[in-house]
Parts: sequence; C-alpha cells; structure tokens
Amino acid sequence: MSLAFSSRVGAGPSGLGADSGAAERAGTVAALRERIRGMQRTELESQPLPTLPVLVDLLPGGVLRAGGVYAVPDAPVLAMALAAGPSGAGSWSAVVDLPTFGIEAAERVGINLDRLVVVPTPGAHWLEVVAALADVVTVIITGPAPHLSTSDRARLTARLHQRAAMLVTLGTWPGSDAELRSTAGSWDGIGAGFGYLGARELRVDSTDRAGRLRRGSLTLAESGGLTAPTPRIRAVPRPERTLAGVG
Amino acid sequence: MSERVLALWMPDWGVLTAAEDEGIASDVPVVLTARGEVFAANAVARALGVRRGLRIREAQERAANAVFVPYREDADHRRFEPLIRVLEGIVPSIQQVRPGLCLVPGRGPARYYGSEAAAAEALTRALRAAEVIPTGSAVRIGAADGVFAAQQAAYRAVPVEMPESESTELLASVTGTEADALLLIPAGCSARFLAPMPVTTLGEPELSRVLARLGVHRLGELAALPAASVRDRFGAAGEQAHRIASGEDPRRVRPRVPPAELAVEREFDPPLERADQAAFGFRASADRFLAGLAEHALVVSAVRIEIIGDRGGRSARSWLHPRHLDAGDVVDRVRWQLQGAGAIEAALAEPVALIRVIPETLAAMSTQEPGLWGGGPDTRVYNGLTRLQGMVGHDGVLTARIGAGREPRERQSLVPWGERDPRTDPAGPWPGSLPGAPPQTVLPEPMPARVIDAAGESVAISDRDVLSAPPRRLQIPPLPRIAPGGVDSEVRAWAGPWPVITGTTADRVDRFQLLDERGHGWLVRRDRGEWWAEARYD
Repeated sequence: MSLAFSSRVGAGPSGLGADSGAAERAGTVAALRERIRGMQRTELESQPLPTLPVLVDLLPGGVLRAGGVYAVPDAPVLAMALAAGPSGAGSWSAVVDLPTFGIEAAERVGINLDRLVVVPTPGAHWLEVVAALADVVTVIITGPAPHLSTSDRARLTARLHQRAAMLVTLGTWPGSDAELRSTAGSWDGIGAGFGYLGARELRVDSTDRAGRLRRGSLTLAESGGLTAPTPRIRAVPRPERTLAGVG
Repeated sequence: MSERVLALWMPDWGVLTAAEDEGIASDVPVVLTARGEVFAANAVARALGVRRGLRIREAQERAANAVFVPYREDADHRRFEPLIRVLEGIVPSIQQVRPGLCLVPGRGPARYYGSEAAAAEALTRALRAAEVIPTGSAVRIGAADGVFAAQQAAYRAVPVEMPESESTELLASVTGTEADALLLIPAGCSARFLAPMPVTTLGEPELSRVLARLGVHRLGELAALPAASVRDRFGAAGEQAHRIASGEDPRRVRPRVPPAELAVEREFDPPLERADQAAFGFRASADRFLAGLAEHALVVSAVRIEIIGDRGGRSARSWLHPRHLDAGDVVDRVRWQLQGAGAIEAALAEPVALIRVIPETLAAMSTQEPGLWGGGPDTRVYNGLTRLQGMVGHDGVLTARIGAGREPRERQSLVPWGERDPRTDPAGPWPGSLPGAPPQTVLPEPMPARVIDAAGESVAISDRDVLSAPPRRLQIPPLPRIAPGGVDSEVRAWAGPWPVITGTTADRVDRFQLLDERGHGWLVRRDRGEWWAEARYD
C-alpha cells in the first residue's frame, strides 16, 4: 500500500532545483512514514479530553484520552484533579463505590456538582454500574475495583473507548494508561501544636503503560483549588492569623 | 367585573399541623424554623414576641421554653391535601394558594346553597365533619369580588367584632360560630373595602416603594389615579395593581390541575404475596394511568403511591422524577416501595390488596415534549440514570450538593437522583468551621482512633485547653477503601485543640488536625475522652 502512495507522490512537480527536490522528497518520505505508522497502529488514536493544565507534564501525550483508564492508588485528590478537566468543561461525571468522596473538596478542585452522579454502594453490581455509567458520563471515579477477569476488564475498556469515557480508579489497574502516585509533599501552616493544614504541595510520579516515568508536582491552595507549582518563598507561619481563622 | 371569590384561610396552618404531628400540647409555644430564621410561630409564641423573620437565637431568648421545629414544606402540603380533597367533594374547582389558604369561585356554591353565607357555612361544616383541620385552628372565609379582595377579607374575618381601624362595618356583615368566621364584602364594594389598606398589602415591594415616594400610600389613592397614567408609568405590574385596587381584580380562580379521575388503583383478589408479582400485576394499570394523563395532554413528574395490605397495613410515599414518569417508571417505583430494602423475590410482610397511584405534580405536555431535534444533550443522561436506578434502586443513585454546617460530614449532602434538594445555605456564615481546604475523604461514620503521647497514654485535655502531653502517634483501625491496613503512624505535626460549640451538651468536644508520616492530614475529634477519626486530607 505504501508503495502505491510513494509512486503517486513521485510523479510530482519536477521543474525545481535538485536541492529543493531532495528536501521535498525527504519531507514527503517523512510524511508518508508517519502515515504508514498511523495505518499500522494497533489501536485507534482516541480523542483527547479537556485536561487541567497542571497535569500536562504527568500524562502521556500531555492530555487525558477518551477511553483511558487512570489509576491513582489511594489519592482522591489526584482523581479529583483528573476529573476536573472534563467536568469543568461541561461533561457529566460519576463517583462509584466511594462513599467517602469529599464533595466540597471536589467542587473546589473544579468538579461541576450539577453534573455529578454518585453511586456510593453498587454492591455486587460494580461492573454493571460502571458499564452503564460509561454510556452516559464522561468521567467515572471509582474506588479500588473488585477482582475482574481479564475478559471483563477488556470488555469494559472497549466500552469506555466506544463511549469516549474515562475511568479513574483509586486502586491499581493492570495496563492503565497512567498510574499516578503521590510520593511526597509538604504542608504549609501547621506545626507542633499551632496553625492548621493550609496549602499543600504534592509531588507526583506517573508511570505510563510503557513504564516511562514522569515526575511533577501540584499545589493545592488553601482555598482548595489546584495551581501550577511556583517557586515558593516560604513565608514564616503567623500563628496570630491562624488563631483568628480558627475562631 | 371580577368574579365572586370565596377565600378559605386557616390561620397558623403550618405551625398547628406541625405541633399536632409532633404531639405538642396547644399551650406550648411552637416555632417553625427555616434557614436559621423563624418561619412561623403559634399564638402562644407570638404573645412572647416571636415574629416571622426573627433569627432563631433571638427567638430562643424571647421564648425560652418554646419547641423549635424545622419547617418541612412537603409535609405541610401533604397535610393540606385531604382538606382540598374534602372541598373538591363539594365544589368542583379549587385553587390552592399555599397550605392554609385556598380559593373557591363564589357563584356556583352561592346559587346552590342559596347565598354565599350559606355556602361558606356548608364548606366549614364539611371541613369540621371530616376532621381535616388541626386542633385549635379556625376557618376564616372571605367573600368578595376578585381573588385579592377575598383573601384580604378572609384575613380580616374575626368572630366577634370588626377591627376598629377598618371602615368596613358599614359594608360588611359579620357572622361567626366559635372561632370560625366569615367576612362578606357585597358585590361592587371591594374597592371601598380595599381603599384604606396600605399599598404594601399588594406584596409588590418594588412597586409600593416607588408609590410611597410618590405619596401614594393607600390602595384607595392608587385606585384614584388615572388607569392610563399608572400603566404608562409602571407597565403591566402597575396596571394589574391598579385594577386590583379598583376592585376589578382580573385574576380568576385557577382550579388545581389534578382532577381526581387521573388517579388509578388496582385491587388484587386474592392478595399477592410477592413484590414482583404485584409490580407485574400493576403494569396494565400503570399504562392506563399514563394513557389517562395523555388524554388530558398532561405529564406527571411526581406521584404518590399508596399500598394497602391484606391485613390493613398501609404504605404511602411520594416519588419524584427528574423529568416525567412513563409507565415503566411508575411500575419501578411501585416495586421499590413494595420491596423496601429487600430483594426482588422476597416475600412481603403482608400480601398486597390494593395499589393506588395519585399524580402529585402535573405539567402540560407541551412544556415537556422534546423538541423537533431531540431533547437536548441531557436526554441520554436522564435515560441512562433512570436505567441505573432500576439496577441499584432509587436510593442508590444520588446527586451531590454542598450541605450546610460546619462539620465536613454535614457538608456532604446527597439526595436521590430526581428528588428535591433540601434548601440549605452552605455559604454560611459558619463560625467555628474548619480553616483551609476541605478534606478529600470524609468518613460517613467517625472511626474510633487512638491518639497517644510518647508514653503510650491517650492524650487528654484539661479544662484550660492544655494537653496532657503532645500527641506522638495516631492509630486508626483498618478502613475499607481508604486505609485497608489501618493507620499506625508517628504524628509529624498537629494543630488544636479547637473546641466545638455544640450548644446542647456540656461535654466538651475538641477537634485536631494531625499529620501522619505518609503526608496525610487527619481530622480527629476528642469527644468525652474518646478519639475519633473524621476525615482525611490528601
């Protein structure tokens, strides 16, 4: 197939100089190689989903992918950050099997509560509920998934692809598009007996399916919103302010 | 010429029904509260100076022994429903303005009973006989030209004498038995009846403010203005106000939509023992119910389902729907109500003898039909979530809101998909609420925890907010999904104690934030010597 294409392109304009002709040929070859790669790719390039800018460095390709599965073991805040992009752009989202999901925190990160559905205890119907939700919402946040057979897992991923939805699990997921873990971090504003938990910096390691490691960090402001990490000048904690704030 | 209207008003309806529901004696001050303010108060509480709109704290000061009951709008409507039903047995069309106040066109009943006074007496007697009025309540009826004048007459109907300030003695004949009373404003006299009332009575604050600035304080003065000038200056709202003040109320009694024949019931003989049987048996009736609605070009977004058992047990409940119900939705709700928390095949507590479905909220089909190009992007979501509800039950699919309160748990507000939001004010102010970002993980129930000092003793607090020793370790038993292995960690940093002012208990409750060695923040509370984990910050 590639031969047929190259022969047709080879019959292009010939009245140019040798140098520019060579450069053009090289460009054509590169374009064709890219095209061949695209045709030989085993899976379809899925469409990108709106992504919070602070996550760009942590995700393969820099964006969330429709049909993707993202694992954020034991880090609800990262699940909220992942979901905030599509949700903030008007998509519906769902929280399944996670009765502890902090609603106010989610709203502060940017999840639209008007378009959020919560199924706190799906019980034995986890797979059916998630599959049914994939039909109607774009982001599904779920607690650690129950044990699934490989074929169930494959069917669910296919469903997600087909419906252009994404799954974020607080457990692990073999073959996830990316697994994000918060490795370390620091808190502002709290000490030994004074202050309160204020702004939070999270350092995050992200491993994609190919095993590539990406590192980044997020800052959760005292207001609860996510901001890009900024070089910080550490302020001296002011106990008198915090006391007033505690009331 | 506006139509003759009878207005039926039951003073203190909400507060009296609430007191009766709660079993409170009639000589106790009762205060209904909504959104931190007094919504209504009974006569005893009013005598102590409790007024609508007062802050609860202030009301508590004025009436220290009062019982405070949160106002529940749905319960209020539900209590008023039987009364409307009784009236509908007598007169064909009734408009419910709000629970405690309804309107009846005056002409028909007056002709049937001979006079408006006789009609009013017949209505009162029927209500008293059916015992649908809470104890201690009166029925006040106003008869006048137009909706507004009739309402005002009902408010002013008193059993014995007319208020002296009103110059209505000449126009009105007053009759009354016990606390019930009728104030009858003869035809053509409504304008003179309304003339001395302040313009604020109209309930149009914007309009009355401007009118007051123009020196128009009473409805009579408004009526004296040329109609064209009022219309030019104030537009449609002003024109309507002018016509009302002139005794030419353009509004008519709008009877409520659900005529009784829309309700559908199905008897089972012999009674059915299983939920799925009963739900299946009701399927044809549900189709009939929807067909009946369709005939009137109506759709239903809330139904009340009543189930009567073989041995006389009753279950009744209202079900709301985010859009409108189809036959399958009705059957689903019948099934949910039948099985409660049980499984589908489980036998019922008692066999089902009768199922009745009554429409509660109706809307014209034209407002609900999907447009030519489909019902918008959310149709898919509605349909999908309705299917999901069929899978995990009505209470299994929830929508989330930020609730009102200072505790993280209070701020998690989840209501079943399609139900009304409880109206709350999450913005506050909530003095004593937690500073900083809200926690990402909120435990539905506090978990017992241990906070110990370097010597391994549980940390205690003195009356002067002094800790027995700084906390050194935090121990929490395994939490499914959050910390399956439990927490046993050094405390890296801590803040507190922050006393919680509960207002009800003398026992002190204090909150702390602790930072564990994995970088998680924990919100813990010390309550009567015990430590509890409440929430986690990532």
